[in-house]
Parts: sequence; C-alpha cells; structure tokens
Amino acid sequence: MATTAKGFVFSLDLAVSFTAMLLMALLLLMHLGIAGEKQEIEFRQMELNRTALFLADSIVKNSNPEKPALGSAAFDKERARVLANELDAGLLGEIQEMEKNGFFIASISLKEIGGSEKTVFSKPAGKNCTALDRIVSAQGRIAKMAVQLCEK
Amino acid sequence: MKSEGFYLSIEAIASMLMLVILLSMPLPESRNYMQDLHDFKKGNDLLILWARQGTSLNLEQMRKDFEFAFPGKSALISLDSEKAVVGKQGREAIASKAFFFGSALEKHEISLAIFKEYSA
Repeated sequence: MATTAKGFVFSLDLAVSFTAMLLMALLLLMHLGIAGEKQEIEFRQMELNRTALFLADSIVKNSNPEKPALGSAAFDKERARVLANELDAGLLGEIQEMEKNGFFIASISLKEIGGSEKTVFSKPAGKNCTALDRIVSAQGRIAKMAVQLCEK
Repeated sequence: MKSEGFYLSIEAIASMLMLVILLSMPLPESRNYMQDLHDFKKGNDLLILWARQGTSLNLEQMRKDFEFAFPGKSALISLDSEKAVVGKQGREAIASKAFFFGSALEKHEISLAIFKEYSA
C-alpha cells in the first residue's frame, strides 16, 4: 500500500554537515571582522604618521610668527624669503599647543651635533603617539629637531 | 547496481570553499608607509644645509653629518667627483641631488643616496 505523506525528513548527518557549514561561515565572518579592525588601526596609524610628517615639514619650511607651531623657520627680511631648515630660536621658543585632525603635538626637542637634547615644547603624551625627526640648522650648527605627535 | 564513488554534498562543498577562503586570506601586516618619504625629506634637509655651506663643504664633514642624521643607516655621498660610502652599500636607495655655485659661479654637485633597509 503506497502512502504519500508531507513533512520534513530529518537526518543526523545532514544536520551535522549543515552545522559545520554555519560554523565555517561564522569563522569567515569573524576573520573578516578582525581583518577589518586591523585595517582601521593601520589606517589611523598611517594618518598619524602622515600628519606628523607634514607638521614637521611645516615647522622647518615655513615662517609663521602668529603660529610658530606651523612655521619656525627664519625669515630673511633683506631678501624677503624664508630660509628653509634654518630655525629661528625666538619662534621656536614661542611654540604653543597645536591640534590638527584629532592629533596634537606632545613635544618638540632639539639636539645639536655633538650636543645634548633640549626640550623646546612639552605636553603630557596621549595614548597613541609617533615621533620623527628632521635635520635643521640651529644657531649655525646642524641639529636634529624631533617632533612627537599623539592621538587625542 | 553497485558503483564506487565519492559523494560530496552541497553544504560540504560550501564549507570547504569557505575554509579555503579563510585560509587564503592573510591578516594585513603592520608597515610604516611613510618611512621612505620621511627618509627622503630628511635627506633633502641635509642637502639643503650642505648646499648652503658652499665651497667650505668637504666629504668628511658630510660623512659625519650623515652619521648624525641617520644613525645606523648606510649611504653613498658625493661631492663633485669625490664619492664615499657610509656603512654597507645596498641595492635599493632613496637618492637626491643638489647643486650650488661657488664665488666664481662654478657649479658644484652634491648627492646623497640612502640605502633602504628591509626589516625581517
């Protein structure tokens, strides 16, 4: 006697293999999540490094008496031009707090060749910081200007 | 009829595919993308300061300045026809060149090639 019945056919191996597939999908999504988070951190770090680089560039290449943190290079009044990489001690000493794109300058220091390091500006550092240096001329001698930039 | 073979269900194929995708996706490595640009700018800083010194510049001073500016790094520095290698010569470098003129308007050339280092 043939019977037709409607319903669900349940098999254990099908259930196990389906669960395994869902587990794989979960692992894949978790991996993508971790990779995405790491990329976000990398991107933020790249932004920090880039801002530090451009800020340090601005300090040594520009002369800005109103905002010395954006330009501390000496200005030759006779020739009416900025002397790139030659720092003005007066402007350097007037550097105050500077914030840009969620980053702030934590410290600026100067170390002359054969001399000791002198801190020009200092502030408590943030959670994530980067530091880089540029080569300048300070009072006629070659020096290294180190800039530390931190995330707010 | 009895036949030997290999049975693969659709969900097993999908699982294996996901496993392959998972294993072939490495996590991104940490790199400082700005390092080359930073070295390039620092190198240019040195060239600007050297050019400003003019004819009083010599190769020995350039060597000392480079060692101060880039501790632990290697470079090829040159002043006109004189050349000197600081440290160990490498294959790839970040190079820049600058010119300055003496009192008799004679042209002088200074160049700096900073060898790149690859971390392990």
